[in-house]
Order: sequence, then structure tokens, then C-alpha cells
Amino acid sequence: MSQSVNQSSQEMDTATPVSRKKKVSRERWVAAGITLPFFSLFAAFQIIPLIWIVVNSFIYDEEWALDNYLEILDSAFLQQAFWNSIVLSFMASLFAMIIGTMGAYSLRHVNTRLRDFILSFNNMASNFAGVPLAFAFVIILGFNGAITLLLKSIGWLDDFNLYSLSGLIVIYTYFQIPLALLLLYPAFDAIQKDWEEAAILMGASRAQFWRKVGIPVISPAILGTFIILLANAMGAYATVYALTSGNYNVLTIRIASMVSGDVFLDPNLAAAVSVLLVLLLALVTAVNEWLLKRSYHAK
Amino acid sequence: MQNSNRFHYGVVYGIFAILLLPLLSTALYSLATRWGATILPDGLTFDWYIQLWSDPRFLLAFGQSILICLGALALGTLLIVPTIFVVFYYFPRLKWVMNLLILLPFAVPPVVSSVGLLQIYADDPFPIVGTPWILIFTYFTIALPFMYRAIANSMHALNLPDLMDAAHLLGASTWQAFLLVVLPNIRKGLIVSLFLSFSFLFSEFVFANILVGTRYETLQVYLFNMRHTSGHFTSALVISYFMFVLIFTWIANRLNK
Amino acid sequence: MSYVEVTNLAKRFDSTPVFKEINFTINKGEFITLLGPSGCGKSTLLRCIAGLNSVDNGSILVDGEDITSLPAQRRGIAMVFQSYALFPNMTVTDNIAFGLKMQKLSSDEIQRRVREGIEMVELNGREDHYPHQLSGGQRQRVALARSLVMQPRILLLDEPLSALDAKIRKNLREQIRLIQQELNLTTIFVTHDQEEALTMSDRIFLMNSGQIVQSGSAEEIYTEPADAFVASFIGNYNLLQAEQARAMLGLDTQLKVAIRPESILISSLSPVDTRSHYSQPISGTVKSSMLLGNVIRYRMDTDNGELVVDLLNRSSERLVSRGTQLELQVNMDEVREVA
Repeated sequence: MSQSVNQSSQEMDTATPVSRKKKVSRERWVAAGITLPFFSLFAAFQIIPLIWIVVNSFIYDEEWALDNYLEILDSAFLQQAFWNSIVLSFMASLFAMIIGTMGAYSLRHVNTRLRDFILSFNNMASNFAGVPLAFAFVIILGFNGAITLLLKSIGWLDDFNLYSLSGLIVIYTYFQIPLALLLLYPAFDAIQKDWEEAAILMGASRAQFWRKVGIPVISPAILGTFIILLANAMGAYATVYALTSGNYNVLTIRIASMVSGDVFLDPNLAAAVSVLLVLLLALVTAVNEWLLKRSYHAK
Repeated sequence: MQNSNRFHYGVVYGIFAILLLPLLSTALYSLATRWGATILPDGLTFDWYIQLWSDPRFLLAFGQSILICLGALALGTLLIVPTIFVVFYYFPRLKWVMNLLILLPFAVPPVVSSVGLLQIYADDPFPIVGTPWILIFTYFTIALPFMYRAIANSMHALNLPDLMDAAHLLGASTWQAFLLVVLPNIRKGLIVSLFLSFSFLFSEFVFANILVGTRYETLQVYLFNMRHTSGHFTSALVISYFMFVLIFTWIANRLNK
Repeated sequence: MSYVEVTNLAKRFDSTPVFKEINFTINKGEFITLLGPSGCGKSTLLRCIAGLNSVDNGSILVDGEDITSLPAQRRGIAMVFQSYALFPNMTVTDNIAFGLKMQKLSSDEIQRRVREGIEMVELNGREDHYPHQLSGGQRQRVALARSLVMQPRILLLDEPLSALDAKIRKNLREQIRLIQQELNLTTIFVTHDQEEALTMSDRIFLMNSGQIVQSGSAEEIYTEPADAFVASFIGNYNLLQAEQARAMLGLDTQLKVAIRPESILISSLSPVDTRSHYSQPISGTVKSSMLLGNVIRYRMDTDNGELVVDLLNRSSERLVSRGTQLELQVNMDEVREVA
């Protein structure tokens, strides 16, 4: 190797395994450095707030304590919020799942143009939630809403109240339908037409095919969708807040009012309720995973 | 056979009607002069729209919403695209970390996140609660799942290791290969995800209301604060807002074909 | 008397005919292949026989019974799909037992038949596996067993091998044929692969655009193509236009002429078989040569167009290099005029 060869070309020409390795590892360090702003920002605005919540849920009067959690156990009002959230979310998710399953199945039996149109429309409708949706529902289903009046005039409806549990179930179901359809439509792809034909050739009826093959195959997807809907409904805030001005007692309303309300501020109690809400969602997801593990998919 | 087909069309049109009804009534309400205790409105007018679009507070909120969304998406693009590239090319074994991270914004309800955000960023060293900055940073995190999925899918379809090897053998540096080969190939996925994320962020209310509120009013917060004015006026607002979101979703759908 | 009789069968989708005037008979225990390019109607014909599609005209008789309008469940016909169509939520055993359970057989009978089926396709030890734990070849064996245990009157196979690797395909091909002969099972096999058709079948029905253009044994179809389509679909026939044939071979013909590559010899390399009648020598230039194992394939340029020539690969002969001028002679006994 001649002395006159300059440094940089030497590096390039004599890429012995050792120096090459060094160069690659330096490149990897630089590459890792490029991701640093991303990870710091994500940590600062997603992970650290979560850690803050967990830590502060165990702080009461600036000391480590379980008092926040004990207070939840003592408060009938907070327990009512849990119960309302669970009932509302469960019912709305159940209805949305049933409607979504029927829709996803029926969409496979209509012509392509209608199907594509409905799917695009569904995508757009999935953005119609929260405050605008609450206002729209007031117009059609409020005390003087057009549909309320229509249904009352033909005697189908006596005392429907949009601002009660049943009203909230209706509006929650509504904004969960597009999500259910979005998640369930591809699930029916899993059922191949050949299976049904094979079953029929072996003497099965359509009903037998669905009972023995179709439903077992698709049920994990339906259950998974139900879990996502449930989590979505439990975490929903804007719709119920806009509709009832924060007067209906569900978890998210409680949490928000304890950090940004006018009267009663208690961020540490809000943190404890938040931790329980997240744990509840985690528990539901874990049950779903456990059920999936027992099914044939995992074997 | 014929009967079951009729049933399927019935279900599909039924769901369509359910989804359409609130929108349609709101649209009708926004065009009605007065719609009291009757099933149909008294007369039709464009007055509510004229009133809305000449309200300076509305226009300001509209502009501020767009500004925050664009800011969050610009920040997201700048940080997410290189990160995904680095993870896919240099550390493919760490993809599971990313898959776990992008679950967080879905799994943790916004109300819960805002509890922490509100306390951490209310005081020094980063007193940004009540300013647009906290929304831009927070929106960056909640847009991440949308952007990550779309970009990662495009990146996955590229067969990155072979593509980069080919570019290197042809004399390109890693940086050049990223800029000239990878970026043009993921552009479509990126743009679609940007349009979808825009619609999503534009519809965000929880963070905007709790973290900032009226101090830097976005369209959703403005809409909420207008709840005590005329229902016709808010309807015109809902429809204007929805049309805007619709255009963006529609463009994303078109680009995706 | 024939076991299966198909008369005047016709099928349209909307207004476009898929096939029409399909007539054939099959004897008990015969292995029939429906061969043709994709879109020729062979799969639809198979599905019509199975009862998965209705027909617009004609009749299907099995063992003297008219099954044309019988629902698929009651035809006693089994089918193996290209995609296997195994039920993913059931083990090998449950998949094979499915049809027997539908027939409400006793559990002893079901157990016995499932065991027989598993042994027949050599899947012992995989009884409790789910389809996604099996290889493609194993899955198709399960699908085959699932059909066989039904003891069907006819077994239909819809391109069952086309999703498999070459080697597995060859194995399974032989196994299917063995089982079929052992059970004396009347079988209709659909494929677009001519090699598959030639090696497996008792008879081949060659289909093109909705019609059976030729039927016969593998040998008949291979050596006596009925028309230019058959000649081009089977083997690597040299297909000459009438004027080319007149100029090259001195034939007095108005039709296209088909010449098999192995019926042409290179005078300087191989001796002329004196029992056959050969054409005048044709001069040609070697354009390319390709070694296909036991055969060497030359592409030759002649004054009247290109000819493909197959020679047996004997060690005494060396590969002729590109550009060499050679004399060709065509065995005129093997030349076929085709429509």
C-alpha cells in the first residue's frame, strides 16, 4: 500500500472485513440517532403522560398511598360511572356488532357497484362522530326532533329520551356501525366459496355449513371486533359530553371533570380512575387473547 | 335464491339509510328557515350558511384547525418516515417494538392521556398547555398509527434489503438510495395516509377541548361552544365541516385506487 | 352400457355460452381427463356435473338415473378442489369424517372409514393436525381422502395438482391413479397441463371454446391431432401453413400440416429408417440448440420457415454448434394434415 494514497480512498479500497464492520456499525449508530427525535417526542407526549398517571394514582396528599383507589371503592358516584360505562359500551357494541355482521355478510351478496359505494360511504361516515354527531342526533331524535315527532305521531314511541341511557345506546351504536363494518367486512373474506361447495357435495345443508364451519371460522374475528368496539365505546368522550353537557355519569366524563372542570379538581383521583379504566380495557383484551389461544388458529 | 338476494339488498340499503339519516336531516335543518314541532320544515334558505361563513370567529377557528393539522402532519412526516426506514433497513428485528408503540394511541383513551398531559405541560419547564404547540405534538402521536400502517405497508411491499443492495451496487449511497429510490416508492402510501390522518385530526375534539379550549379555538371546539345558538346555525356548521372532511376522505379513497 | 351419459349439455352465463352440445359417455372405472386451455369451459362443465352450477339444456345420466336436476347433495358425486377447500377449523380426522357425519352413519362406521381413508392416502400420524399445519401435498391428500370415504359414484378432480410443486405433483399424480384403479372409481379430472393428461388418463376429452374438439386415448390424441388447435396444444408440433408445406415437402395440400419434432431427422447424424418414407432433403441452419435431458432440441432455419427438431441424446453424437448447415428429412408417414 503506497504512502501517497490519501485517507478516504484508502478507506474505500481496503475494505477489509474488520474496517468494513466498523464502518457499518458507525452507520447504524448514525441511523439510530436519526430516530431519536421521533422516539423522544413520542415518549414525551404518549408514554410519559401514561407513566405520570400510574405514578400519581398512588400519590395522595403528596405521599405514597392507596387512598385514591380506596376513595373509588367508597364513592357510589364513581362506581355508578363504571357501571354506566360498562352497560352503555356493552349494549352499543353488541348492537353495532350484530348490525355490522349482518351488513358485512349481506354486502357480499349485492352487486359490485353498490358494494363499493357503500364501503366508501362507510369510510366517510366513520368520521361522523363526536360533537357534530351529537348535534345531528338532537335535531332528529331530541325532544322536538323530526324522527321523535314522526314516531310519536304513529304511536311507536312514548317517552324516548335521547339524553338517557337508551338514547346514548342509540347514538353509540350509530357511531360504532361504520367501525364494525370496516373491521368485519374483510373477515368474511376468510370464508372461501369452495368450502361451502365442498360441504354441500358432502351432503351438508347451508345451515349445517355455517354451524360447523362458517361461524367457527369467523367467530374470532367477530369477537375481536367486539373487543375493539367495546374499548372504543369505553374511551369515547366527545359524543356524550356534547350531548349531555357532561351531565351523564360515565367514566370519561368523570375523569375529564376532575382535571378540567370548574368545581372539583383532583388530578390524582382522575389518574386512579384512568388506571382502572385502562386496566379494564387490558383485561377485556387479555380475555380475548386467551379465547383466541384456545381456538384452532393458534395450533 | 331470489328471496335471499332481496333480503341482502334490504339489509344493505337499511344500513345505508341509518347512516345517512342524521346527515340528511342535519343538511335539511341547515337549509330550513324554521323547523319547529313539525315533521318537515316551513321553508328553505341559505341564510344560515351566509351567516356562518361571514362570522370571523368561525373563519379563525377554521384556519387554526387547518394550521394545527398541517403542523402535526408535517412534523409526523419529517419524523416518522426516516424512523420507519431506519427500523426496516437497519433494525428489522425491532419491528415488534413499533407494532407495540402504535397500539398505545389506540389503546389509551384520549381523556386518559390528557390527564397526564395537562399536569406535565401546565408549568415549567414546558408550559405549553393552552397553546397550539401541545396539540401539534399530541396530534403527531395520535396520527402515528395511521401513518405507520400505510408507510410500513408500502415499505414492506418494496423488499427493502434487495432494493437497497441493488442501489448500493449501482453506486448510490444509503442517503441517495433513500431519497431517490425508497421515497418515491412509498409516496403514494404516504399521501393517502396524510389525507386520512387529516380527516381524523380535523375531527378531534377531546384533546383540543381539554388541553387548549378557547385559548386557541379549533373548529370542533368552536362548534361545541356554539351549542346554545340556533340549531340551524350549528347545522350549517356541521354540514360545512362534514363536507370539508368528506372531500379529504374522498381524495384519499381516489388516490388509493 | 355406459355408466355416465351426457347428452346435448349446454350452459350460458347471461347470454354468452360457456359450452354447448356436449355429448360423451364414460364407462365404469374409467379415468377421463378434460383437457383444455383456461376459459375453455372445462371447469364449468365439471361443476355442472357436480350440481354446483345448473345447466340450460341437456341431460346427465349416471348408472341409468337422470341426475340433471338433482341437488348436489344427493348426486353421490365427490369433488376435490384446486384450493383443497379443507375446513380450517377441523383436524384431518374431522375433515375426512365431515361427509360421513352428514350421512348420519354410526360412529363405528365413521371411525372405520376414516381410518381406511387416512391409510389410503398415507397420512398416518397426522390425524390430529389442522390444515394449516400440513404441506400443500398433504392437504390435497386430505381432500382426496375426504372424497374417497364418501364412496362416490363419480370422483371429480378440479385441477387438484396445479397449486403444488413439480415433484410433489408427480408423486401425487401416480398415487391418485393407483388408488383410482384399485377402487375402480369412475373419475373425471380437469387440467390444463397436457403432460398430466397424457400420463394419467384412459381417455382424454380435449376442449376448446366450449366444445369437445377431440376425444380418445392419449396415444390417439398425441399422434393424430384432429385440428391445428389440438396439434398446437399437445406437444411441440411444427405447424406449417399450406403454402409452406407445399414448398418444403412437395405435398399437394390445401390444409395446414403438423409435424412432430421427433419425426424429423438430420441426415448427417442419424441413419434413415428404411421402413419409412422420407421427404427430399431440406437444408437448414442451426439457430439454437437446447439440451432437454434425453432429448436435444434444435431450432433450424430453412428457406420455408423455422422447424423444431428433437433428436435422442446419444453420447456418440456431439452437440452441433450454432450456424452449422445441415440436411433435414421429414418422415412423411408421421406428417398430418390438420384443419
